[in-house]
Amino acid sequence: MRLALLLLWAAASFGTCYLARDLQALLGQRLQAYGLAAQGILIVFIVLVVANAWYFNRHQPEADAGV
Amino acid sequence: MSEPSGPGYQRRLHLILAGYVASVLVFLVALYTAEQAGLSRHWIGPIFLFSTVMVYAAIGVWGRTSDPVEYYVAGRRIPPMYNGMAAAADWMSAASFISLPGALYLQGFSGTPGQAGGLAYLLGWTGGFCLVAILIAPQLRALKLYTVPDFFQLRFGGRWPRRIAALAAVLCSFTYVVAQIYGVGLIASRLTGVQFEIGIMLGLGGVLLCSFLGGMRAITWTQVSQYVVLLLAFLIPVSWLAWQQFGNPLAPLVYGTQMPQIAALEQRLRDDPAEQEVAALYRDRALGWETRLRDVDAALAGDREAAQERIRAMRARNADVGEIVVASRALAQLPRDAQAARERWTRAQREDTERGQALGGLPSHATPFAGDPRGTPAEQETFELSRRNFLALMFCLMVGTAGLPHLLTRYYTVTSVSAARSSVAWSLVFIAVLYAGAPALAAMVKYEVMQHLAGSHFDTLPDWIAQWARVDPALVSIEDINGDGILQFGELRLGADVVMLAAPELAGLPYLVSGLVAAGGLAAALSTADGLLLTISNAVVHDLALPEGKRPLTPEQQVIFTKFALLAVAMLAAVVAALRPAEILSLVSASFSLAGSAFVPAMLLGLFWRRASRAGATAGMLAGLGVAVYYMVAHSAGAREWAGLAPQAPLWWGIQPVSAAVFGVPAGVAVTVVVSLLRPARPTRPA
Repeated sequence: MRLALLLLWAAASFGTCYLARDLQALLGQRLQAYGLAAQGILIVFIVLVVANAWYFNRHQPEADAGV
Repeated sequence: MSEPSGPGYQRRLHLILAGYVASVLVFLVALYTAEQAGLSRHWIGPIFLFSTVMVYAAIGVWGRTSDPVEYYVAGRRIPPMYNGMAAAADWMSAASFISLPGALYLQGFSGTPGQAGGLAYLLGWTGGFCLVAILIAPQLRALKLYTVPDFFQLRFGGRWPRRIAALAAVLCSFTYVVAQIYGVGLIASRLTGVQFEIGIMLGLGGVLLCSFLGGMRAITWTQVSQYVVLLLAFLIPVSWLAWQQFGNPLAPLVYGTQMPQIAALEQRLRDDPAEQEVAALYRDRALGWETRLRDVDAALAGDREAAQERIRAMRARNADVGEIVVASRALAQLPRDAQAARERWTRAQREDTERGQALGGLPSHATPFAGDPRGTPAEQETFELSRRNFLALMFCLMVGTAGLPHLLTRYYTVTSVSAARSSVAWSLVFIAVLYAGAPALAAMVKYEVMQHLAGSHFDTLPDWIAQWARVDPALVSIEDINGDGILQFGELRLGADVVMLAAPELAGLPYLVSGLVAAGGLAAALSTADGLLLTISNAVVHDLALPEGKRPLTPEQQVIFTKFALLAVAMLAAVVAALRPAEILSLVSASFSLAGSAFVPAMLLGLFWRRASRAGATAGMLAGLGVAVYYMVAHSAGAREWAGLAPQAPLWWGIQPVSAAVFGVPAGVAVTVVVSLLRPARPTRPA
């Protein structure tokens, strides 16, 4: 689960930005790469963090100190 | 104050918060009516400055404590939502509040080839929270520590990991706090009209009142109240502007329609003959610098000779003393030697070359990355470099977020591990509310400047331009270079730190809103400075100065020592800030790079890899920090002059020095792994 979240995080941030120029061509004029980067990715981040809190608080509320 | 952390306690907190928000709003409405009734502008600024600082100080006094658990981690009973708010205020520094809209204004999507930026800041500063939430905050909270360096002692044992961590914490937090205090000085001097240095001292008093008395507990509640102020200070002007331009106050939803218009305006300005004339004049100037740079010694000698000749001529004709003083000052301000002249002229040449491009060197607002992947080889290379630097900067800011000690200690203050997770989520939500508005504000300001300000007469320019130019010429510079009496877009140069602060005046909002924005910037800078100063002084006293067992201090004595360390650090930071070392954003990015490369490798490996050993962590932290510091110092003009290094060290893969963590983090990880495998931890100490 942690790995999946991290993969999504990397894809959303580095992936979309790396491909920003190509995505713009793909999306056409209606959707802007600028708006996508400025707001879309922000929303993805929030969803990820909330999902993380919800999932782990349910499954391992106090365990997993890592050390 | 020993209230339990039950539902009753939370309900009381909600009530207090609601009352606080309401009273801030009432205060604003009262001031607004006063302004309408004719209250002078000279009063509004100081009223904002003093009333907000007084409120923070009052909260600091109310929350004062010398109990160690309260002082270091606020008793570990802050509810997740409030902790999230405090973390958001702690997080959003002068860089976020003041410089981010400016950076988006100046740099558009991704910045110029010479300086990556723009959305990389926005994404880096939010994306880092995913790392904090998933990998770090809950794990650290579970260990019940006081400071971040504590972790290194607990996990690896021994003194060195902890000492190095404390040193790294001091280094990156200090760089960061200097930037904040610079921001405080900027705002205070604009609000009250006092000198920049006195402005710094005024703001510093506010910071000290909060953190000096109450430690983490006082800071937490001041930060909550500062979050409210800075949120209002951001949303009110942004919504107002959006209402003016679109008739809809929900700026983040509607500014998308502005983007095509900005692109059209950019095109119009590119084709405008007057703009092209201005750009050509700047190009000439840049050429002039270039010729002088070709033979620096001769040019400098010529300058000096000319200045001395002028003074001699004045003396010969018994000129006015004042004139001679002015001329001698001009002579004294010439670069001291060829090295300094080269640095200064290179900068001037770069600046004028930049302004010699279309739009005064601003990239086109919505296009991702400079250059063109399908263009000429040179354009392709610009594109590659621009993209690489964008991603590098984003990476640095993200790992820096995960490594900055003042943010991580915030998550020590919640009640439990799961509360830490929810708290990170809350912080990100609170931060995103503001960050979603920043690009909207940048777009609206750009539209306003391009549409209305450019093309107006020099005699009818609004007052704010002159006022800001007086605070610091680097903030606003304006010059009728082609002498036609009309302001071309290329003739106006706004510094990144001024766009947000000047936005209300630019749009013609009541002066009250300007005061509010300044108060918000002040809240942002003060809240971050509070947290950072506390981190530094804790690192100095708790982790560095008190070796185990030598001279055991009672916890109360420790707290007192921490307070004095805090005072000393604050003074030192104010002195450095008064020298105006660099722009806020570059200072902050540098401190993120340092934090990322020093802490993140050893911390993550320590948390998730059982075989990481003490020697490995020590070497890894040193390697990461060393690489990052070297890369930055080797490429910073001032430091190079100071250390007498070669004038131009080549960049590695074209990555800019602020993004040094791109090399620091991998170096740290590699060294930690290799050394841990070579010198594993002794089996007696359970990992």
